[in-house]
Amino acid sequence: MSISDRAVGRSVFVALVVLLASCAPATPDDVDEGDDGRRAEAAAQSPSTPEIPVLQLAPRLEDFRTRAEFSVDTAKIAELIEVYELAEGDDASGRTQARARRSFAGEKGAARALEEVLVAHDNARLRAVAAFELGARAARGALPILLKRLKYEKDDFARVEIAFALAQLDNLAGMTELARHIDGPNEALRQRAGTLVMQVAKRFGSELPEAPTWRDLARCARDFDLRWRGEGSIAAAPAEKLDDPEGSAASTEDPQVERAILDARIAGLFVDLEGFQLRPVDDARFILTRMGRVGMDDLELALSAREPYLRNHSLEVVRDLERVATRLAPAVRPLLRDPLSRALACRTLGAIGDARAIPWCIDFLDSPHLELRTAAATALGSLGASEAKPKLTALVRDEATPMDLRVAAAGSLAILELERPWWRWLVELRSKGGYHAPTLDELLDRIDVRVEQSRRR
Amino acid sequence: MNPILRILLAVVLVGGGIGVAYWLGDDASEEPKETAAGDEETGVGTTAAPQIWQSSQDCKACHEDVWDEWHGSHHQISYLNPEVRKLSDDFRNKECQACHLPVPISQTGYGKRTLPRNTHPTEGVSCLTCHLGKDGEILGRNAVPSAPCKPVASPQMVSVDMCASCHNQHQTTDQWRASPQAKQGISCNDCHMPEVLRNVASGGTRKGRGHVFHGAHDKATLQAAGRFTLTRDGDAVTLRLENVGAGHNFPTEERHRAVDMEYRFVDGSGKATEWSRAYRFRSPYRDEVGENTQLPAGEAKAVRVPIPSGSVKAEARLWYRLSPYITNEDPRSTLLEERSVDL
Repeated sequence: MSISDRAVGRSVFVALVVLLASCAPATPDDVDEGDDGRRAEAAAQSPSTPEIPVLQLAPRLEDFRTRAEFSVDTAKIAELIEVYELAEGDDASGRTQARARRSFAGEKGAARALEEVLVAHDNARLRAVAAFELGARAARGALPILLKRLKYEKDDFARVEIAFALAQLDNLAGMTELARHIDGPNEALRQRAGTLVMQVAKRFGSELPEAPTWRDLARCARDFDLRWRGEGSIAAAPAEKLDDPEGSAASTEDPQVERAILDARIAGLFVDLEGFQLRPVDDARFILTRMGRVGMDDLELALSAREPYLRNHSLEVVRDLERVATRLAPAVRPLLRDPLSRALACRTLGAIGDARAIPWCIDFLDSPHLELRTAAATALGSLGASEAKPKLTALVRDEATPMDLRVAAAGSLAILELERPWWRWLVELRSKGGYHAPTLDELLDRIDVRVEQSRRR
Repeated sequence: MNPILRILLAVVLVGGGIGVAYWLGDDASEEPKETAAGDEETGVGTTAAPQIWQSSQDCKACHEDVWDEWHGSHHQISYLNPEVRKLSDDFRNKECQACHLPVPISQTGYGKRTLPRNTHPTEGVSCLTCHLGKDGEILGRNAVPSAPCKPVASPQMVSVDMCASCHNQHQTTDQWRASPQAKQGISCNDCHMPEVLRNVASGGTRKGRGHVFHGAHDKATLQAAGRFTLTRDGDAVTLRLENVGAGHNFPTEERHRAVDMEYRFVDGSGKATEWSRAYRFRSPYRDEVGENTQLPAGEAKAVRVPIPSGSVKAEARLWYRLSPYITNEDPRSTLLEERSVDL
């Protein structure tokens, strides 16, 4: 092995720097603040901080695209929709309706026709019944469609049925919808939502009083919502089958077919994440963040996608899933090395509660990149990192600190200390117009939620 | 520390350093990268910039005139605009943030869409959104190595692809690509960032581009888009709008934008009928029935209205509305043109 001139030169330089450093008085404020921010960032990495895992990206989009393909018999669907309209519409006689209903109920694969009705039919009552039927038929392939309708459906009766159908498919993302109508002014909606909450409570083994009040029912629905958002999966009592108050007695769909369709549709959501139009991106995000643990394996794959939007939007989904997605922390950590994703990765690790991220976040507080520093300050509060308090406090107190960072640091301190001074500082800042008011409002709301969660714990 | 000990320490360190250099050989001569794997993998931030540019405030000291134009523009207020906040449900519709508070376009690529940032909310589409290169350098139309920010020349600075990252969300740049203006080489900046003369610190002037970004909120820009006429045509009057000036549909962008042609007739006693809408140019909301009636560049739409008996005059107006279901009195409605014809 030969010595290169450059290596020798560097060794001499290092030694001279060490010699000079030993001559100068050392102060705790000695930090490399050179012009090159990247050098400063490297210098800020504490020697005791563990290495960020190596980032390895791979193309994922084509795989998702291939998996997303599945075919449906459109002619058969159109035929079934006509039968369904006869069965549930207002035009046919009672006898024809009954015959059509029986015929439709016995059809395997009728779920695809019901989905079409749910998405596109202009009769809201028919959409509501279609949602109910999808749940009753255990059409798990319809999960993404039902969740998307939860975003767009405007008819409250249909929304209630969508929420219930989701529960029948073991997804409790619609429970706040039921709670809202139990608290609401419309008596018919309240009755329906209350009945359905009792059904859900029975399925998932939640105990309600013998004669529950509206308040009991609303609380039950909200508890389910909290559990769903906290756990992302709630096991139904295996032997419990939901009552069928509509008397549709539909046959259930083939579970294997449904699983294949669900898998294809989930893959399709990831294809949408990489597209140009933002509306489908947001739809996909909306659905994925309400799927609970379903789709988690695909999220893990997408986090290491070479395709930038795929991995960034998947990170956003993981962030919004919060503690449900904690097991994905190992897939998120390497993204701290990705200049495009690292700030979001930081926030995500905070949201999913990955304590291993604390030393990295503390180091990132010294980064020259404001977006990253702000993300790190935010994450440290979510992570309950009390060891970061002195550094966060110094950042808020230093008026030379950019306001974005001061606000984020104060927000985290308000969560960490469970006391009001930092909260008050933010409120005062808001009243003085010192920072963007809607952003502050959002932060103050988030602090309240976090503080409440911590107090409960 | 004792000076002798310091010297001894230095000797040991120099020796140790040489030893390490032997051990590592040529490999050690490679310059370390900040986040080697990440940079190689993503292609972002592979070159260190001499200074980290964080905010539009960094630009203000030297470019105060440009900053003043941008400040108050719809780019600057894109995340603050109450209209936008309302329509986006205070940005709970997450898809809106990517364009209303974006990271620099260079980070994701020109013509590709942007990603959202979380800092400087009051700066919306900031100076850095367009002028920050992916390696942290400042981009300009021309390289100026002597300037403090040392701008590097980038052909993307006045490119349609730069605008497309956000403005093609509603197909506006695709509409432009199909327009007569595109064939003539007239692009976004020719209308929305016209050339202006700027003072240079060393004296004299140079050509620059306006940063007010006039568009749907500027009456003169809107008026330049269409040629509106009212003519008698036998027993009817014809209201006609031709898109002569917009190099894209009129209206374009968001679905709540609408252009209305209205008419009324006046009889011999001076009594006028109610204003009636002859035609609405608009792309309907996703859950609305109807087709996209925006007027493509270079095309015209004419509507014939029979003349009621006893009418002595016909009047027509052209309205631009930022929201479709608002009255003429609403400040979001702009009266662009008025025409009348004696019958």
